[in-house]
Amino acid sequence: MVNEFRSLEASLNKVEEEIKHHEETDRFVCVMREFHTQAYSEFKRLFLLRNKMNEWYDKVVRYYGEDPTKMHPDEFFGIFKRFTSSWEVIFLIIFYYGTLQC
Amino acid sequence: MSIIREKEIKQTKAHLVILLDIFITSIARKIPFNDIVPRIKYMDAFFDDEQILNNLIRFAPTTEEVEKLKPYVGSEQRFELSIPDQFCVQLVDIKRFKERAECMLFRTTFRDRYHQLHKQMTAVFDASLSLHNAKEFTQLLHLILLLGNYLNGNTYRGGAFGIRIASINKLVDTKGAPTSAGSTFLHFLVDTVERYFPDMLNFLEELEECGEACKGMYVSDVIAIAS
Repeated sequence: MVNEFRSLEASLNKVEEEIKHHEETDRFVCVMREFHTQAYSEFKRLFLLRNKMNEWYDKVVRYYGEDPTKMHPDEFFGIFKRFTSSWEVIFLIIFYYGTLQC
Repeated sequence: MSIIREKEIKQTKAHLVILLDIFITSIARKIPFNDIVPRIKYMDAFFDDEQILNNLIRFAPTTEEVEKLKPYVGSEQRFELSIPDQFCVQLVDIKRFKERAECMLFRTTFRDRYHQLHKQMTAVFDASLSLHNAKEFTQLLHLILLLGNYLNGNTYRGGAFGIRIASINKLVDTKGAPTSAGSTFLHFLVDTVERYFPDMLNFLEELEECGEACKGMYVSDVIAIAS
């Protein structure tokens, strides 16, 4: 996710750079400039979303006693996903085979 | 005389030439050969296509090839070259062709990449919020701690103040009485909660968004590497 974000940012800058290398009469300039303006404003939205996401991810990971700088979302949320999946499997076993005698 | 010249000048590597030839042929079905490159230059919507642009980037002449092709630009002798070579001669005429094509490709794929990233980031954000406010799940964790301490009783493992969150997935490894088949701590927990704490089962809903959030990164990284 981080890599993709950075890749988009870099490419956006490359476009801006590239426009400067071509003449104003070249259709490339006109089309790319329009694209860049639109993409840039959409990218800004993404930037804000990313900040919000990081803020809350940080909060919740620390709340559960882990280090957000060391734990990626797929690992962190994977813990809970695995747990609920296991739960559901066991629930079905109990449901179909009757409750456990403990 | 002209055939010898054609064979003499190997502008592009053998296998790429074949692929380029196929590529040009497929485009030429829709656009006359001599119109292709001018239309690329003019940003014709036909070329607003990921696959086509990827191919154009792949076939773009290298700096060495550009040097070999330059003398043919605007010259009558270019018609003696093979079709792929003629195509490349026309490309040489476009300033900074490769960089241009890369920008065009970015423009073409931007919408989808943006949506993917937005979707993943939203998933992580939503899951974070949801998990942070998960009351029943917190209750469940208390229960796990309570039961675990009780079972460990007077041993050194009893009296724990907390557990690493990842260890909730180890509960299924904790075996119970050998008489009950497939009985682990987790089985016992599920049974107990279903019977005595049914409200706690809301935790499943509280944790639902974690499924989407943990998928995210994998897919986007694959796209990033591929592009």
